[in-house]
Amino acid sequence: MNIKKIALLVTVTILWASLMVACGKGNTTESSQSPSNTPSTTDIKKEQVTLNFETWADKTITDKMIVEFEKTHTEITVIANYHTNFPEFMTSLKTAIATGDAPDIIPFDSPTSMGALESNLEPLDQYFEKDYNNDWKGKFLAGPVSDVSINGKIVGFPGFSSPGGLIWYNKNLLDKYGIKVPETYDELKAASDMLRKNGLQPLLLGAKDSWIVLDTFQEILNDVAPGKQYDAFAKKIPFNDPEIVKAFDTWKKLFDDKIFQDDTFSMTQYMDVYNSFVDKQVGAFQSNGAWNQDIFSNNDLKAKVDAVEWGVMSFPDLNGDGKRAPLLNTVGGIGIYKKSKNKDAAWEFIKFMNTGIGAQLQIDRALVTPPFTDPAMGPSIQLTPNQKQVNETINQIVKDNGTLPRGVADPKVTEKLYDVLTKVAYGNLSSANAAKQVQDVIDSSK
Amino acid sequence: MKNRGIEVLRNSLLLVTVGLFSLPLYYLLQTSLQNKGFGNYYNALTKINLGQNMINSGIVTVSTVLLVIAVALPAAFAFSKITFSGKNILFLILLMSLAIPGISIAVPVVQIVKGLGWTNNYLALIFPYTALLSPFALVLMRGFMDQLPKELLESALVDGCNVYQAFFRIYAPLAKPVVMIVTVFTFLGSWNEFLFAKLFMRKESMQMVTTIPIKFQVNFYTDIPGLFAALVLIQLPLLIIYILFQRVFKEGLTAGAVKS
Amino acid sequence: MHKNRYTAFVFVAPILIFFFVFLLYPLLYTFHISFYEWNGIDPIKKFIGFDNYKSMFYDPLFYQSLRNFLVLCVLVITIQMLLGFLLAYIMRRNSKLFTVFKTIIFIPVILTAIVVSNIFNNILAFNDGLINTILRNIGLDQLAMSWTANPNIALFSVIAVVIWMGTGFSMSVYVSAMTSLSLEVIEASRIDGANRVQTITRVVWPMLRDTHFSLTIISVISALKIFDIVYLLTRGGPMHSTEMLSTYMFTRTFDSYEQGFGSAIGSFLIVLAVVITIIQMRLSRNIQN
Repeated sequence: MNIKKIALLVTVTILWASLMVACGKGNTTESSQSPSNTPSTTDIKKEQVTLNFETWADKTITDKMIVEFEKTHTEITVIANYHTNFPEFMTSLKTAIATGDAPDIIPFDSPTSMGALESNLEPLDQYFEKDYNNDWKGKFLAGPVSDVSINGKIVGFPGFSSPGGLIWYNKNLLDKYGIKVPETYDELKAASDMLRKNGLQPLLLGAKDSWIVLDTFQEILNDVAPGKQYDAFAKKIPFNDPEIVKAFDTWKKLFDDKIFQDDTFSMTQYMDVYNSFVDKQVGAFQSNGAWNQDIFSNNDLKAKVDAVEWGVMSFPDLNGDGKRAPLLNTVGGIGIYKKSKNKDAAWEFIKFMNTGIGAQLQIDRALVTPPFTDPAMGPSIQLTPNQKQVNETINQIVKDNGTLPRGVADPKVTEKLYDVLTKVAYGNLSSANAAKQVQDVIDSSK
Repeated sequence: MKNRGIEVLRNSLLLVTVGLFSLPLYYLLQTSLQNKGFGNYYNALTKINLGQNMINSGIVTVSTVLLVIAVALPAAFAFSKITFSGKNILFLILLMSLAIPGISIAVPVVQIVKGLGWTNNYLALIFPYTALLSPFALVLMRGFMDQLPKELLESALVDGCNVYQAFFRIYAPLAKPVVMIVTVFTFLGSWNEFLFAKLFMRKESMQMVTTIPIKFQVNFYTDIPGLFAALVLIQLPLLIIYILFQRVFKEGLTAGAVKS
Repeated sequence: MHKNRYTAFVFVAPILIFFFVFLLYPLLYTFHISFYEWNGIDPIKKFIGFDNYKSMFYDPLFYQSLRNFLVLCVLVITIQMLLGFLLAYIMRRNSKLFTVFKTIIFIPVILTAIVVSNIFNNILAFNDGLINTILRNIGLDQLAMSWTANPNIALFSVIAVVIWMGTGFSMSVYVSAMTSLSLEVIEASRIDGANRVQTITRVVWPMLRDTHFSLTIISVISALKIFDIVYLLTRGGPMHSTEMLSTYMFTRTFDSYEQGFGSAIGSFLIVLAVVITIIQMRLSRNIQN
């Protein structure tokens, strides 16, 4: 008993002592930093500004950007808070907004989140006019600009684009079993049969995540029912249009023909599917966007990535009409919190992230396309031949197939789509009823 | 002969059960040692600022434990030994708060914390944790107090003590076993809490240990052994606390949980 | 018993202050929001009366969540208590080995949901998970199942994980309750000719009635609150087969931006918890009298 009491006492003392140490440390670093932060050229000390930034983006790159930014903007300190994925980011952000305590810098990923956040985002039109003149829109690509425009105002800095809706493949595995890159549904089916016969998984899909299910299904829709989903979301035609119903049939067929891997709905895209495809290499295909090019800059897996020849293609022609589906494009953007006390500093940081060094870091990581009309910017790193080939293929597909908007503006429709797609995949709901249920949700919203 | 048979059956059942229970733990340890062996642990300690997070969690947890004991023990005493009007309804109300899931009150709690100017401050976690964890402590402590004879109080009052002295000198020292139990459970609840820790502590230097796994995921890390090593490390203090308190635990739970 | 309102108030005030500031206000806020249509972000909320409750009671998913919760509650509590009781009974004598065993069984209690979900997501994986690998290695391929992706099995996988996490707790409670029972009673009943099974069912089990009771209360309440482990393991899927009221609330609040609707589910959850607590306290009083 006594020993235990002593142990408890010791624990408490140590912990409190470390509190003291921590406080002490904090103070010393602050005081040692402040002289260096004061620009020596001016006598008037610039006011120190702290910016809060929350994101689900890659930590390594963002940390580098912050370091670079603080070098040239000594009066600004950026505190970044990272989240594992977009839903977690949004949970935290919503709670913060509810108390008027949101971060100064708010990224958003889609029309859905932009619409929800609109009332909390500062219109940035004058900022652009000030720094890029009145004809600033001409300096940006139209797509990215429209992705940050809502109700006649600009609420974010146009983001870097990277199309979704591709299929990646492991060329080594395909070669090993004499499989040629499939261009039609039948070829895809034959390839997946061959792979399964040899104990491998065919097309990997992290169906525990709704976003990749939606990407995949939008690709199917754009092949089987070109353009119709957008008309249905705009209430021009009903969602239970026969061609859309057929898209649900195709989705079901992919499961019935065992083209997706086993246990599809228990795996997340990151990290389950990513690991299965890149690290364990148990599957030969993966449904994922062009951002998967980041595998080439993943240091943890360098040896594995380099040992394989990777390929990328658009979805095969699923309905046999000889046409391949356009890719999906959305870029989102980065906005400023309306109640931020440091809007000018926030604007400086956002600009930094998307131009110059910041832009270069983004491009080098996943070879994303800048939103500027001036095409001067490219990767500064030495691309491997495979990486170069993959990148060129993606650019070619974008050119050949074109792109259409990614995602659905109404989050309730998104939720419902994921819900019915799961049920259709498990054979618990007919395609017609699935489409009908989505239509009901579209009807019920304003 | 029949007894032997039952004994063999009993022992093999016990072994199978313990085996099944230890399998996931074995898997955790084994995975944490893959690839780089103990290097995974070294990396976890040095690369991801685990030490700072441990200190943060330690400060919050120890303060929460002390505060929970400080508010729950006197209340348990009053509910058990003092008669006052509205006692039952008050106790019921406090019991109800046992059932409130943290997630359902996240937004308003953030508002309060913000209103008090406590974001990125240890108090932002210590106070809500105390509120959420003290009802359970109260239940355990009241159960224990109920078993202590009320004559102690009566004779103390006869001897000229007042109620406060009776509480501090007689009942509080006797409650040591249940205080230990409460310490363990409050420690667990506070150390392992995730949602508030994530929402209130934005600054990296103020983050708690439960947010560590996120650090492995935000980089598109594929280092599962490294993650598992960090997981083992963040749970280690709890294991030490449990083993230290194991004996007392046994005595205290009886008294506490049997009657509520 | 001592009677004094003001003295009592001094003792009770601190815990009440915490309750009023950090729990009561949030509860009232949740009830308040449940009458609005609100995305959780906009400054404008639209008052819609009981509409959220109405659509909740018409939502099949609400009933499915309730059903899942009941299945989980009944199975987890029954198995956890029986297993905990038997383990405590078998290991009632002091021995080094038993202490080690008890520690192993207790360790899951101290693990946080993030740790547990990471372990089990790997153990339960279909292709290279530990369980299926073992089964395939010993030739039982047909038993290798989709533990978390098959809607008929997923709930039971979650339940198994929850039992793994909680048995140590009920075992410890029984262990300490049994030390307070004199072992003599057990030995005496043996001499009286009761066999082992009879000793357990007719002597030991009934004597621990109060313990069963308080364990049930604690377990029901923690089952109601269950969130992290379910969300991290399955997110309530596949096909809502593991949806609990709490995950249902979370999805509606944060994924489909329906804060008002989510608050209605939250309010229902709280009312349900209160009702269960009151019923249990009534029952407890009846038993004690």
